[in-house]
Amino acid sequence: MKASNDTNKEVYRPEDSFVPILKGAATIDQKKQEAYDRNLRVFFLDGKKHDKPVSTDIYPLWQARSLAGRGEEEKTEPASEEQLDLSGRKALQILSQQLAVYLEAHTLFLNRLKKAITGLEGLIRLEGGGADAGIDHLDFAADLISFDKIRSIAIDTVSSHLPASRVKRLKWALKILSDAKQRYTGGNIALFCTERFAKTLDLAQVIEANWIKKVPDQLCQQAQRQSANAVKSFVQTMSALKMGELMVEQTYEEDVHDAYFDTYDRKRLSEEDLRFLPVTIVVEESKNLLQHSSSFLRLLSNNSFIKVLALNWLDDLYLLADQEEADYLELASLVIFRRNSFVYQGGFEQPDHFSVAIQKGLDFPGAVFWNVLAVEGTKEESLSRLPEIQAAIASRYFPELEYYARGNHFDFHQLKLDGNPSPGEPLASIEQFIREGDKSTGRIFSLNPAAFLAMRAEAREQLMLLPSDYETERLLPLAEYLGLSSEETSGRIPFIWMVDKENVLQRAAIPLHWLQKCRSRFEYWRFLQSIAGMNQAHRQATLAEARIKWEEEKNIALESQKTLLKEQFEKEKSSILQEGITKMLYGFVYEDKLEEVLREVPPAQVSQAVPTTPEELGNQQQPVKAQTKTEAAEPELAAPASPEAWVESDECTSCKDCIVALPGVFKYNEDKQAYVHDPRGGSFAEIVKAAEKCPSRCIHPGAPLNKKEPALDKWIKRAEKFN
Amino acid sequence: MERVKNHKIMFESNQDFCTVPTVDVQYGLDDYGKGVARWCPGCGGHSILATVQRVCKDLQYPPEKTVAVSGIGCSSRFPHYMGTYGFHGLHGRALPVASGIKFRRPDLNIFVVTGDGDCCSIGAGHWVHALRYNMKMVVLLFDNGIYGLTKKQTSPTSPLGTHSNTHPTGSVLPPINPLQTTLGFTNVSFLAQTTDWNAGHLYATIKKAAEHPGLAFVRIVQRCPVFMKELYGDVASDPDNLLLLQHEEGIQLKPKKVRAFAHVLEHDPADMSKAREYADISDKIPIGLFYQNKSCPRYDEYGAHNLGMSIADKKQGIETLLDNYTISKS
Repeated sequence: MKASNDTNKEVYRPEDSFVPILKGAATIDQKKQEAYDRNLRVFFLDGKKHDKPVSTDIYPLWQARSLAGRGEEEKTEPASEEQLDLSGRKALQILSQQLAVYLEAHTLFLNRLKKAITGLEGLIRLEGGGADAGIDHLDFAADLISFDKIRSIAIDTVSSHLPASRVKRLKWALKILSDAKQRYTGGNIALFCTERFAKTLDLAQVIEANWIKKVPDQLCQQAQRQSANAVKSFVQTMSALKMGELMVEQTYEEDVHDAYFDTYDRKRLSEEDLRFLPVTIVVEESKNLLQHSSSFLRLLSNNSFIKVLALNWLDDLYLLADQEEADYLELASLVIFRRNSFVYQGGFEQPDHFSVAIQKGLDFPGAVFWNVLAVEGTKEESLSRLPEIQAAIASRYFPELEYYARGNHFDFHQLKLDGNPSPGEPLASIEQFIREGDKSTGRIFSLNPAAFLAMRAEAREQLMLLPSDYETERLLPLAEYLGLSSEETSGRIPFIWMVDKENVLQRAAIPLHWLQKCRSRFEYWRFLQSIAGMNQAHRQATLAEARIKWEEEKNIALESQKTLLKEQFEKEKSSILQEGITKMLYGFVYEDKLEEVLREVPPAQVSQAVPTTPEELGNQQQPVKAQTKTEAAEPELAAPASPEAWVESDECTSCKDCIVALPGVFKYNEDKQAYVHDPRGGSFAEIVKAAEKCPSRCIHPGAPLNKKEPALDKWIKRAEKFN
Repeated sequence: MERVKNHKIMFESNQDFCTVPTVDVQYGLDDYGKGVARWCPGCGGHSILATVQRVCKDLQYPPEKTVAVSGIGCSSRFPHYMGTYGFHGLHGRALPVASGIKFRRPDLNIFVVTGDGDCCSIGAGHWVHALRYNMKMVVLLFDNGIYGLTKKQTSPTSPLGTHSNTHPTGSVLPPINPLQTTLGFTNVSFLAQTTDWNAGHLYATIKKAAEHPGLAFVRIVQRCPVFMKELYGDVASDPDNLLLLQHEEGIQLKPKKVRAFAHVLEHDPADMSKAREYADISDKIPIGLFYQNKSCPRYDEYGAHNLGMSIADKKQGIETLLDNYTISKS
């Protein structure tokens, strides 16, 4: 159906209205259901509840587009026959084709085996044959010389003197290689499947019969066992091959190689060697694999080389019960998180993708998991289902992904989502031209998971068409609805766009359990994006939060700093004023009295009652002291300490301590006694320390000149006794 | 006698006995210094060195007429740091060397620098007789109570119980009191005590000693910040530990400097018995002039007398001889 010229605007057609029949899954919470129902009004146009299903001629937009071909602006090539086969057999056909290509490596390996075998047989012949074998070609001279003489010379020249241990190894290698040659003839491939699977898909038609290994049950365990044995024998084969090649080239040395080959194990296999590994493949339906999930996951363990091809049927996607839906649809991520495999998930909507993925998987030196979406049934039945497959993938219901493990660490860049449309966006979208009146405008419609679900005719019964004038402000397209939080979506109704048989756009409300499925798929897609490095939302949110926090802290720190600086400024201002006043006062003080004023030690009494004996001295000590104390109480001039540091040079003992410690402040005068030449030549703390160290206590630190020095209070206190 | 008379007549007019006109020289402090003193930081030796240099400068001793004589010890590094003549002699032999110099060259100004080990231990014998001979010189005893140069051995003046390399558990003998010992010698003419950390008093004491006509023995209580930190460390920082001996005949300090002392004792330096009494004070360090007697006989004078020349005449004769080597501007 193509968009016709007389397409109207979204018009409410009374005859198309219906009463909704909401079919919810039994597990949905009743309360949630009621709440959801309250948001919708049931329209009773004719007073009765209609339980007729919605017309099957109404399709989700996506499906309508594909049914009508493409939009006017898009042209496509006609689909080839190859592309149209979406059945499970197609997957196996592609696998078979790739295996045939891959077998070339096995053929190379087989040639190498044969060459080694030939060489080894030659060696054995020389050794085992002994003298007789060597002498055969000397028969012509039999009558001329005796055999004894010949034997004595012949052995040295034509047969090999190999040590016994080497011969033993040689024989062992030959045996191993011969067995391997048998296995590799025709390709050393084992494809495990259940008997039922083989029968259903008629596997023998697509895969070489000698590759198929049918098992009645315990598929994974059997495959694992076989793979383990295959790997073990491959290790033996490689060991024998390398040993044989060394022997044939005559470069085998016992003292080096014996120990090497005695301990030869799978760790010694290089990546190139692994190309020749026997291939073990398991094919099965993914829902069956899921039932034995632990044995399935064990298949893909760290030491495994097994390749698993899981088929997902399209119809199963519709019918999944909610509990198993997450497991089923997220099977690939279970394997990805083992961080050791190659994983591919996708369908056939891009036919090259799958064959390339098979090729990559076969070349990958480890476990592989291909999770493919196909249509159950024959090729003919699958023909018409392409839009659904495309919708399943494009709507993020079954997104395409490719994961390639490198080494042993999980690097999100190895997860690729490039096969999906708009891989960087939450949802893919299409542009559709809508005719409104005379003009046609392009509108963007998103491909959401509900659109995929609505493609199934039976599923459409669960939708409810909404009249065009129905509470437009409460309606929200599903794509927007999914992106909002629960607070923002309260009271809103999600809808999807449908197109009726007359190409008129209609809105349809989706049931609650559809909404839950869509939300689950949407969130899974966002999760995949974040692992692939495309969804930075969480990171950006964390960064924004951290930025806000940092700004807040910064502001607080700034404020406190401002307050502190203000206080310091006030303090300094007042101290500078004080200094100025002090200096002014000094101007009024005579110089000769200045020294006395600055000295704290009061003058001792000498003239009266001076003791002349030690006893008198002892008796008078207290009175003398008392006198000095009284004198101290009445100083001649009460003047504050000098603002700058100074030295009583007369008292200087020239010990050089202060000169050495603080040459910027102290110097010797012409009498080799210290004086302060620059009071700012050192910090106040340093000057106080010099005063403390001075043996004659002739350094007077004064007051600090730089008020910004740290811990000034402490130093002023220490300077008190020297001022 | 006639000869002397002639000399007297000839050179009487010349004050410093040099007949050749020379340029007036004013000696500065640098003229008495040489090199960098390598004593430990905080050693009292720095202070004494600077003071001696200052005294020499103030008295305008010609450096070439000044000799510093020492024995062995930290103190005895002294002559190396003086820009004068010097003699760094053997351990304990500073005094006999100085005596010899003085006897032959009465015109030289001699500073004898000795230590508590050099003077009171190995040099004790010379100590007795140097004092008795009373030849004009200034003897400075750097008493730090330890053998410092050899890294802490007990000396005769180490306080009882001093832990050292020779007495790890503490010294067992009471120390010598150099003041008492000196005052016990016959013919002692000058005894003073001072400290290295009191620059004013140190200067006044050494200057007084330099002006004394005979042997001026000065005991300088010296700090050793490395090996005897505990001995005078706190004492030096507390002026209350000093007792100033004050007298008009004693060491003269400016009144304001005297006022800085908490304890002052009036003492006449002519009073020997008091001097001996004050020499025994142990709870404080008495500083000042203990004893002075300018009339004690001097051996250098005797020597001069025996030669029929007074010291002044002798000096004159020497100067005349040395005039031949005087470098003059003209």
